[in-house]
Amino acid sequence: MDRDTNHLSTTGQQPASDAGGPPPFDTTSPDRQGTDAASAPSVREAIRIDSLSRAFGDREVVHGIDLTIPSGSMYGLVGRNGAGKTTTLSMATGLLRPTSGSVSIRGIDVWQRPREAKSLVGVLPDGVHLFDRLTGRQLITYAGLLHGLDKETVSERSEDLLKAMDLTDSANTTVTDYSAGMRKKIALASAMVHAPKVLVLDEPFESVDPVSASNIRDILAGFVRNGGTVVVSSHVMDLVQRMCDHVAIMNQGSILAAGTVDEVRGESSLEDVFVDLVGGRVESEGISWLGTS
Amino acid sequence: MVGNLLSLKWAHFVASLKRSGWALAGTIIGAVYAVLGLFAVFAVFMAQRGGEPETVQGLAVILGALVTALWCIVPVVISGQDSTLDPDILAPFPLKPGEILGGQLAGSVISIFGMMTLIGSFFPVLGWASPLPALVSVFSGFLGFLILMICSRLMSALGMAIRQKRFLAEGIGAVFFLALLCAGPIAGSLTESLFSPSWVHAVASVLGWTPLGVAWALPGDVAQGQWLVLVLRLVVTAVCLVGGLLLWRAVIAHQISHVGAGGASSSSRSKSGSALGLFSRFPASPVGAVAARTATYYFKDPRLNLNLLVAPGFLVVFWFVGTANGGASLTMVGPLVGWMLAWQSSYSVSYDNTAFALHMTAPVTGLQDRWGRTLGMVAIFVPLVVVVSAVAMLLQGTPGGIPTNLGASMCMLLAGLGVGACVSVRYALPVAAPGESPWKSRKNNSGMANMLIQFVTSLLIVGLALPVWILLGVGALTGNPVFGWMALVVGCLYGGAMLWVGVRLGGAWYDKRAPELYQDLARIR
Repeated sequence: MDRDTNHLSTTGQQPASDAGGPPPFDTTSPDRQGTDAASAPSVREAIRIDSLSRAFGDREVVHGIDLTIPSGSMYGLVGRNGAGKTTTLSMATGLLRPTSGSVSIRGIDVWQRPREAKSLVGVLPDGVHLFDRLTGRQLITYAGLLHGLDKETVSERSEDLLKAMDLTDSANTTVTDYSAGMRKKIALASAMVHAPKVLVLDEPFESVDPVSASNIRDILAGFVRNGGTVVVSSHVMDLVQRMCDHVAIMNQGSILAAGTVDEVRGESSLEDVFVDLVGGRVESEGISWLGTS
Repeated sequence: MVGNLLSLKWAHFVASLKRSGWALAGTIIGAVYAVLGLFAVFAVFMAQRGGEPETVQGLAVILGALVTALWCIVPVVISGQDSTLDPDILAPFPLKPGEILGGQLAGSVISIFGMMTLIGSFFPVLGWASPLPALVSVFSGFLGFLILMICSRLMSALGMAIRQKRFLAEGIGAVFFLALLCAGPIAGSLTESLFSPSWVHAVASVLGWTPLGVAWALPGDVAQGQWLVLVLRLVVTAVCLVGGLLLWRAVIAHQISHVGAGGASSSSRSKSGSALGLFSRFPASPVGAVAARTATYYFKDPRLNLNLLVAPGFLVVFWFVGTANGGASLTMVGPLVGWMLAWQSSYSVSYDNTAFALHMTAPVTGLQDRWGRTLGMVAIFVPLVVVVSAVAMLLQGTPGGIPTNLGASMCMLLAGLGVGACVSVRYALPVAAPGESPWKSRKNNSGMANMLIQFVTSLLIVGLALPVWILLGVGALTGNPVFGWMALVVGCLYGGAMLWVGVRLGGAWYDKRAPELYQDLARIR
């Protein structure tokens, strides 16, 4: 898989000249697919969100947010349940049409040129069904073929992915018989089979056991090292602080803060900053009758 | 405590009605059916009033056993009874098994069918003109209702256990489906038999000693003065009642201490040869992949492979009905199977549910999605329809009718798949979600609107086959076999053309509104 995510050498592109000055994340991300100066900025922006809104009926759940996710970053999107994380990510991946605003992935507008944009992204939606009457291997194969990969590539990559996710033993078991963690892993594998440039993962570690979670984090870190971009939504602050280099805090459909993790959290922990920004902590002595003997 | 549970159940019942007008309408329609059923039972006993005691007793036993059997079978196949007061849900609260049992038992009356069944339980009273048996009937009706509910709850617990064994559950579902197809003929011959006193006496003499029928037989023994038999039957009734209650309480005690056990256990591994199954049979392209996946689902998903059982099912039913009425007419089987298979194709995306997100996040075009699904179905349905149509004609003894019949069947199937390719991308219809029992009916707020869509779709499929109907008519009038062959050629070509149009149109719709379709799917899931 590393081989595929490494570079796009087939079109004979040269390393970028970085004429515009190195972006802050340059040291961690040798993202050098841009050839001419015109496309360079858009390629440096893995995802660019401009005044994106979504209303369901009268209720607006995302209020014209702007967000730029730099290429080669491990970007955490944090917020409470119902903050609009999933809605935003759905709009960014072509699952939900925005009411207004635009999203582009590496300079390609998701809603104007959806098919080109979708080739660049791997998506792990949260809480959706899988085609679970297929075996694990069939599911990855299916995802690969839908992305237009040829037979040999699909079979090679699915073996790699099954091994990486520690699912080789269950490859011929139907996904209905998988545990919740295994389902997450097979869905993640299906999202990665076409070697996307950007991975958008909605709650990827929910119900995944600690060992598998470490393995997945390693895979994602390697993907970022080789120039890929990962966007992770989560409400586990510790995880985001540990794993991500960038973070955006979302609440009630707006972005409250965004930047590198160190910028956002300053001196304190991400969790404290988050609770400060979002509010909602109840100042009290606790519940008086609870725990008294 | 039982009172609390009862008011909880009542609050839930009222809330479910208030939730939407359609839910209320559905409940009213259910109530109308139940009242019609009640009226039939009422009529039976009024007609027998003061008649031969043995016959009245027999009818009470048979009808009672029949209703009890229904209450036992339905929860096994459809996912459970009303689950408001299920032990799983009540487990966190400090309730004794006996209290839950009481709540479930009393609460079972708070539902349309529970209430109607309770009322119906006392209808045998009407069959007795003399006071003593009538009085005993009140008592036995109550006992009968109690045993009915106990049996039903026990069976529903058994059903839950079975559902965790996927293969078993799917097997039972399939058998039940075939039985359901034969339900019409069975009900027909049953009502006929009810008019024959000797049949009633014979059947009741056996059923009257089983848990299903024993309680309902008590008044008859009183009327006939068979005191020894009465005592024996009372003993059997008591044993059923007490044994059932104890067993039920044990089941509840087990359930509240084993919440969430099982489920993620059975790992049926299929290590067999070709690891990719149908995916290695279809071309390795987006269209081929969708086709392979669609075809795989028709074999592996119980919600879908029930549709394949329609074919042999209809053959059996029509043959059964035909031979009973002397001379089987199987002409309709082929076109009917083609129509059914085409019609259910309009559920294609709805059955995917939110798994459809995988198509959405991949650069799949509308045409690829549509052709993939359609060709996957064609690969299975065309051979199926050809075989069914030919076998039907051979069974009927008219092999000369094969071209005509095949033409009509193929036209229905192909043109219908074209309709399905459009409808399935336009409407998200409420169907059982992946992994749910295929019998589970979805609660949704636009039930009537969806029924309308389904109705119009089914008419459209028949209407689209008009050219073949005309050829069929002309062929029948002139008796010229040439028209049969013309029907075959026209049916296939015209049906194919309609399929092509449907796929093009559906593909264009897909490109335009797939995200909206996905949101609809996410909403009803």
